[in-house]
Order: sequence, then C-alpha cells, then structure tokens
Amino acid sequence: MMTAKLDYVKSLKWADYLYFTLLEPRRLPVKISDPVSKPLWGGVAVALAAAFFEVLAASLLAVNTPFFYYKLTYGFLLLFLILTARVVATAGLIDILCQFLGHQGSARALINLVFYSLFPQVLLLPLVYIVKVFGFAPPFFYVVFSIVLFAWSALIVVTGLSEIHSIPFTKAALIFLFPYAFVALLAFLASLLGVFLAFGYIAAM
Amino acid sequence: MDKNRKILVSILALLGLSAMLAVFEISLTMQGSRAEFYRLASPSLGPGVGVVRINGPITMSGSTDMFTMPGGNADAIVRRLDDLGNDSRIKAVVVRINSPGGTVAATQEIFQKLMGLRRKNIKLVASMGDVAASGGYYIAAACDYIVANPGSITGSIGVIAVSPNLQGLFQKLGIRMNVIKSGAYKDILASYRDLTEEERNLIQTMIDATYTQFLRDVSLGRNIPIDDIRPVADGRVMSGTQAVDAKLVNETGSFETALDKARKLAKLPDDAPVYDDVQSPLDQFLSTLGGALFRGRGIEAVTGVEHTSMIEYRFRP
Repeated sequence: MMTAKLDYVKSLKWADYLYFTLLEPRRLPVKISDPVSKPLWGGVAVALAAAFFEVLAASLLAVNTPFFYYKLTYGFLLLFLILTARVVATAGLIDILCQFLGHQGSARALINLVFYSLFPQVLLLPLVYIVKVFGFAPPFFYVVFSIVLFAWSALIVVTGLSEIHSIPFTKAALIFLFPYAFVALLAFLASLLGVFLAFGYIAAM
Repeated sequence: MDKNRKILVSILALLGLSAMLAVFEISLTMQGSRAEFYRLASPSLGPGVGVVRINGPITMSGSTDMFTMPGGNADAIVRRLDDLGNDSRIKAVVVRINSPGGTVAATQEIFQKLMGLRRKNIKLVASMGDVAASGGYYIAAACDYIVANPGSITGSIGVIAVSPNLQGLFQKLGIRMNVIKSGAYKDILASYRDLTEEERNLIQTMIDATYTQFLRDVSLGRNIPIDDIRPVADGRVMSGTQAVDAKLVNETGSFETALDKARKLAKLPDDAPVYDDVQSPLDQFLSTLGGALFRGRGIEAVTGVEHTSMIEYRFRP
C-alpha cells in the first residue's frame, strides 16, 4: 500500500492535475472524473496551498502589529476554512442551477473543479514578491494580481463547466456568475434592511 | 507528458523557494532585524535630533473628545520623550513649544521628564512658537538652551486660579443651590457664591507654594539664582527679544536655529537627521475637525474659563 503510494508520487502523475489546471483546463474535467484516483484530496491540498501563499503574500506587505502574528498562524487556517466553504458553496449553487436547467453532472466533480481552479492563486506570492523587491507600488499590484488570478480561476471553472455539460462557453460563464449574483443580491437586500433599521432607530430616538 | 510533469514540478519547486524566502523575510520583520539592516544601509537614519511638539493647553490626559489630537497631552508627551530617551540614535532633542501653559501637575511631569533626559546627557533645546508662556516657559526652562522668535510671547511666570462667580446671574434667574457638605471648604471656589476671606487665604497659600516651586524649577533649569528671576516673575508677558534681555531666553531665532543649536551642542554633523513626530494628514484633519466641532461650548463659552483644573501655570490673555 505504502509502496504503491510512493510509486504514485515518483511517477509524477499527480502533477497532471495541476498541469491541466494551468494550461489545458478543457482536459481537467475528464481527469477529475476518473473514478480510480482520488482527486478530492489533491483539491484540498490546492486550497491549503492557495491559503498559505495568500497569507504569506499579505504578510509581506503587512505592518508589524500584534494581529500580524495571528494572521500567519490562525489566519492561515481561517483562510483555508473560508476558501473551502466558498468552494463548496459556489460548486453547490452552480450544481443546483445546472440541475434546474436540466443538465446532468456530479456535484463531487464540480467541487473538485472549483478546488483545482484555486491553483493559479499560488502565483500571487512570487508576483507580489517581485514588485515588493523593486518597490514598485506593491499594494496596488497586490490588488491587480489578485483580480487577474481570480479571473484566471474563473476561466478554469467556466471552461471545465462547458466541458462537463457540453454547453457553450457564454452559457457556462452565466452559470458561473449565478452564485456571485445570488450573494450580491443577498448583500444588497441585507444592506437595504440595515438602512431601514438605522433610519427607524434614528427616527425613534 | 513526462516533460510537462517535470516542468510543472520545477515550477512547484520555485514556488516552494519563494515561500521559504517570504517566510524568512517575514521572520526578519517580526524580529525587527529588517529595520536594523536598513539602518546600517541608510546614512539618513544615524545619530540625530529628536523633536517633541507641545501644542495648546497642557493637561494630564489631554482632550477627551474623540477627534482632538493630544498636542498638549502630558501623558503622550512623556511617552514620546521616553521613546526618544530610549532611542540610541537620539543625541539631542528640540522641544517645540506653542502653548500658553496648563495644569500644574501636567507641566511638572513634562519638566521632570526633560530634566531626566538632561541627566542622561541628551542635549535639550527649546524652540518657542507663537506662545510659550507660563507653563510653556516652565517646560522650556528644563532645556539647556532656549531659542525664541523675536515675536514669540513668553514669560508670564506665575500661577493663576480662576473661577467664575455666577452668583448675580443665579439670583437674577432665581436659581438657588442646595449644598450639603462635609466641611467648611468643600465647595471652595463654587460658582454660585462669593469667596470668603478664609477661603481666599487658603487658595493664596496654595498659589504661593506653587509659585515658589515654579521659581525653584526655573532657577534649577536655567542655572540662575531665584533672586535674578523674581523681578520679571510677576506674571508679565514679554516678547522673545525682551526675554533675551531678561535672561529668560538664550537667543532669538527660528525652529531651524534651534535644530542647528541642538546639533552643535550634541556635537553632531550639520546634516544629522531630524526625527520629528509630525501628525499624519488624517490626524491633522481630525484635529481640525475636532477643534471646529468642540470649540467653546457651555459655560466655558460664556465665561472663557475651562474647568480643567483649579490652579494653573497658564497665560490667560
């Protein structure tokens, strides 16, 4: 059992998931759907790495405060949990919409896809490090790189989604946007409720 | 495919390396070692002159509203002086004073702290702004050297206790106070009645003792006999030029003059850096906002008297 695992690590077959994620996202769903391998643990490892690298990138630019220490330790675990929750929620909502639209698919494969799509975000650290070394507006580029890498992750999910369900890219993009639109709507309604409550409170004073 | 896998593993190795470098860098920042590296690399962070700014009325804990910055807050000033005293780069300190004085204890705390720095052989130079009178001058007297602008208002050596007497107003409005007190003097300086002769003597004794303390400290700080100070220590204010004649100030000059003098006294090069404690733009904005919002409210606006303390080293024009 142990020897088989070691052979798997040595064969570098596990690297295919990451290779497909970065360069050939159309082939990723097929690889993920392979029932023999257990890609979910690989996806969780990707989320762990993304959280770790993001915390390191943020800490490089951070001011040395007491919170700084927590950010590196507990903050890493917290970010990992948040990322995992985000992945599960996003994949769940996308799967619900897909089923509503009559598409067949596995929620597990979708969760894996969203997990692996986080992989480009590990590039945030080296990119931020380079601009920090050159002192070239690191906070500004931190934001820019974060947006670009998020867009890359979104592209991976949308490409994978269009492969899984054999749907056009634009339709897959709209399905991908659904969870974000849903959350935005909830946030809008919550803020509206907050404003009404604030006005009510002020009026009652 | 094997080639692609190897390329990807190489990329992962580079990512791992960048993570290790980042962890190393962050560890250095945590330990404060990074600042040391920069300190060695940059000549602008070598031995130099620290600056402490004292603005506005001096009180022990400053204003209590959320906007006003602690310009005359004795606690904050003492903390700043502590920081400068513990910083091995600071060889001299310029105390920039723009204050009419303030409460007795707050002024004395700052004075004592400055005398402590003097004992540590840190050279102190006072630089007077618009006003450095009464308690403002008290603080300046703790410095080795005092520089004032020719037009700075200084002096006002003395002690004052001010309490509004609103008895007439209360009578006019038909307001009477119910007072239950444990002793005869418990409502001394109350605004709703006149001061009795005994009470006046009691306060006067306290004022005299505080005044003597003022003279003693000025004499100690300036190294001048008390008898030489007494003729001008009757509460009079004077300009910077007059203060030089009265030997209360060493020379007239600007803040730059004070910085140059501090460098000279500490035997620092002419381009030695200055470590100022300037406010951030946000602090300045909040300070201005606080001043506009909270200036002159309630009885203080009517009487012009702030109830920070009964007895003060303060110039009240």
